[in-house]
Amino acid sequence: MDIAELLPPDRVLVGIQAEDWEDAVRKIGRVLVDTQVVEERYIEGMINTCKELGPYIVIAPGLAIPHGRPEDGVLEPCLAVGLLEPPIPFGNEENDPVRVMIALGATDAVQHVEALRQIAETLSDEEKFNSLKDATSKNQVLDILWSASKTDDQG
Amino acid sequence: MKILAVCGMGLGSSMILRMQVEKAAKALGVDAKVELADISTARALAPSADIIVTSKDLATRLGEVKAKIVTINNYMDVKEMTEKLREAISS
Repeated sequence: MDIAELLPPDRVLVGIQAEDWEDAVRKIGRVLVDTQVVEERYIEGMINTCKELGPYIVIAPGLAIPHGRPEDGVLEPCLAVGLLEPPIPFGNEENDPVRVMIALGATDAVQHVEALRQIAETLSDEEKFNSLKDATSKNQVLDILWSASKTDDQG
Repeated sequence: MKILAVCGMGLGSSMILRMQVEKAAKALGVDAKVELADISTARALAPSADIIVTSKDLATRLGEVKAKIVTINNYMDVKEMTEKLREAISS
């Protein structure tokens, strides 16, 4: 599935203020719950994953990809993006603090792969990655992350 | 050459790792077969791999394996991946 399908405008949140990483994950998880693509319990699923496995979800400087397991209550493949203001440490020495959260809900190991490939393609471009970290509006975030989209209805 | 990309659940970051490993291998002219694993199945799959690519966090959970372990800090940086893979292949 395409990035534009998995990440509609109502799942982009800028200016998130959080007390700590758990609060940050709860706030982006809330966006997935409110748009009815995951069950309420998925939020705890994401937090538990991070506690069990450590801050490996911070996969690049300033970027975390919180996610749980498909069986934690994912209703359809989905993404949500949140920008933390100010950035919050997640406990990852090399890559803290986290500015951008890309929360993922997967129903299997297949359907979200194309969207992840598009994200990796976009953010491998350092200039685009930096623009995402500097973004202050929903439209800026969508312009950047949809830039690898294959659909015609961008922007 | 067989490369294993390892993440916590085999859903998110290992998918991104695989894409970047494939790009790096291509740049190095290496014929690489990249497989995905989550941390719980990685140990079982490790004996057949030449190189394991993962994060520093998860590398400490792999225990002792025969394969060379490459740890990546920035999954979006193909240059870091390419340099570390080159080093692992030539050592």
